[in-house]
Amino acid sequence: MELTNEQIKYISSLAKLNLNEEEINIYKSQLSNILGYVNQLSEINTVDVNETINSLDFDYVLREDVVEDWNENEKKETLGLAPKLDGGQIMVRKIL
Amino acid sequence: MDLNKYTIKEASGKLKAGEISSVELTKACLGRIKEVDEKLKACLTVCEVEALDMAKRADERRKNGENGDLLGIPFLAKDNIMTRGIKTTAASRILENYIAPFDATIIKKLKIRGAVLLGKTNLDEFAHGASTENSAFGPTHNPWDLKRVPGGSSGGSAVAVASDMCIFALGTDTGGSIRHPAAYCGVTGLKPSYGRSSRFGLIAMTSSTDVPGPLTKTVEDAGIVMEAISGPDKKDATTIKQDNSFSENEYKQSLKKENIKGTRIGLPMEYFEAGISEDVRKTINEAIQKLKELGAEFIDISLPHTKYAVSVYYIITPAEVSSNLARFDGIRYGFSVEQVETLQELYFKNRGGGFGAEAKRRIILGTYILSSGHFDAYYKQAQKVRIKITEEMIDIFNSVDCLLTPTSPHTAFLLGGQDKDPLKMYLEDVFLAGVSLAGLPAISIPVGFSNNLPIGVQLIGNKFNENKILNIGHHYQMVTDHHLKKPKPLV
Repeated sequence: MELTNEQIKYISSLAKLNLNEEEINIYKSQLSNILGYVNQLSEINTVDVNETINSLDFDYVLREDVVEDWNENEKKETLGLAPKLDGGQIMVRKIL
Repeated sequence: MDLNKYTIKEASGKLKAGEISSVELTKACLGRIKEVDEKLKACLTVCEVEALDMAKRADERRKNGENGDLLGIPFLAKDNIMTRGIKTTAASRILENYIAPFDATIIKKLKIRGAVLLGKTNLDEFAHGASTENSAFGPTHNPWDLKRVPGGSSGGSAVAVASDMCIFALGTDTGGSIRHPAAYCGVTGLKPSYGRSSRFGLIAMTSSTDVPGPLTKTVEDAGIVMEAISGPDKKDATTIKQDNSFSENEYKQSLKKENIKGTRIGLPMEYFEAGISEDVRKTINEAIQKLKELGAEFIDISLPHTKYAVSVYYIITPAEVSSNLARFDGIRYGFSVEQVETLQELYFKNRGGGFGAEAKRRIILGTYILSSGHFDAYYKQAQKVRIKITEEMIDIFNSVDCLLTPTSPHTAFLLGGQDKDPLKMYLEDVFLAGVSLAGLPAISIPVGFSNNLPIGVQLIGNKFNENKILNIGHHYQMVTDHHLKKPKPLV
C-alpha cells in the first residue's frame, strides 16, 4: 500500500492541517507502512458480524437537555481564553 | 520515614490518628518534587499555593469530624484531565496556556473528598504514545534508569508515584496508557472497565475506549481511589447506571476476602508466544507460581484474534482522534498565529503549527481511513473485528475468573530508541489494546526486575469485575515485596 504525495496533500487539506514538504515525505512512507500492517484485517471473514459503533452493552446514563447557567466569573474566564475579543464576543478572521 | 513515601492506607491512618497533618504531608510531597523533578521531568505544573491551601482546609475538615480515606491526601493528575484554574495542556503546544474553566468529574469527586491536587503530570501529546517522548515540553525520564523511557502515555504519573512525589496519581488509559507506564516504572496501575469512571473533563482522544484510573503504590490504594472516582455521571452518557454499579464498599470488601483458593486464571497462549524477552517470561512464571501457592488454578486458553488487536486499535483510534482533534482551531482558545488574512488560512496555520508530529500523523491517518472510498475497507472492517475480539474475550470468562498476561513483552527501552518508527511504537500496545477495545478492566502489578528494571503482570477481568482482579492483586502483594522496592536515590 503506497500513498502518493498528492494523496497526503489532499488528506491534509481535508483535515485543515499545514504540512511542509519534509513532513509530506515522512508521513507518506510512515503511513504506507502502517496501512500495510493493518491490512491484515482483510483476511478475516466478518460476513456474519453485525456492524456496531461501540462495545457498550449496558444502560446509558441519560439526562434532560437543560441549559445550566454559568456565573459571570466563569463566563469571563472562558471568554478570556480566546486570542481576540470585541465587546465580549470572540473575533474571527474574514470568511470571504 | 519520609511522609511522601506513604501509601494512601498508611497516610490516612496517620492522619486519622492525628500523628501527621495534611499540610505536613503536602509539604513533604512538594519538597520531593523540588528535589528530584529537575532530573525526572514528571510534572508540567506544580500548584504549590493552591495545594497548601487545600491541605489546610482538609486539616480543618478533619478537626470538624470528617474522616474519609482521601481527606488531605496529596495527588497528581495527568495533564489531559481538566482542573479548574490550573493549566491543562495535554502536553501540546496548541493548549500551552489553556486554563480549564471547570473540573473534570473525577477531579470534582476527589476534591469533594478533600484530596489535595499538587499539580499536573507529563504525557505523550494528547496521550498519543507509549513512551512520554511525544510531549511538546520534553520527555519524562524513568527513575530506575534516567536514560530510559517511563512508558506512556501516563508516564509522568507513573514516575511521580514510583519516586514518591505524591501519594497517588491519576492517569487515562485508551489502549494501555495506565498499564504500560505502571509496568515500566514498577507501580500499580488500574484501567477500569469502560463506563466505570466518568470521561467528562478528559481531553478526548478515542472516545470509545478512553477511561481514567489510578496509578498507586499498592493494589489496595487503587481500590480506594476507584471507589472515589467511579460511578454514574449525568455529564457522561457512557457511564454505567448506579443500579448496575458496585455498592460503595464493594472494592474494599473484595480486598477483605480471606484467600484466592479456587480462583480460576486463564493463560492465553497468544500472549506467551515468541517476542517476549526471556527475563519477562521467567519473571511472569515466578508470579504464576506464587499465585498457585496461594491456591489459584491456572488454565491454558486461546484467544486467536489477539494478533489483530493492534491493527483494529490503530484504525479506530486515529479515526476517532481525527474527529476529536477537529475542535482545536485556535479561535476560542489555544495556540493562534497572528499574521493571517482569512479564516481558512488561520485553521491551517494554527493546526499545522500547534500539533506535534504524532498528533498530525494520527489526524492524517484517521482522515484517510474515514474518507470516501476507504471507510468500508478500514473502519467498518475494524469495527467488525473489534466485535469478534470482544466476544471472544467475554466468552472466555464463562470458564475463568480472570486472565493473566505480561503487561509488556520487555522492560523499559532507551529514550530515542523507537521514536523514528511509529509502527514499532504502536506494537508496544500488543498485550493491552484488546482489553481496551473490549472495554474490560485490567490492572498492572509489579512482579519483579530484570537488570534493575521493573516487570509488570497484567490481570484482566470480565466487564465490571474490578473486584476480582483487585482481590487477586492484593493477595499477591501481601506475600511479595516487588511493589515496595524503590529506585536508587537520585540525589
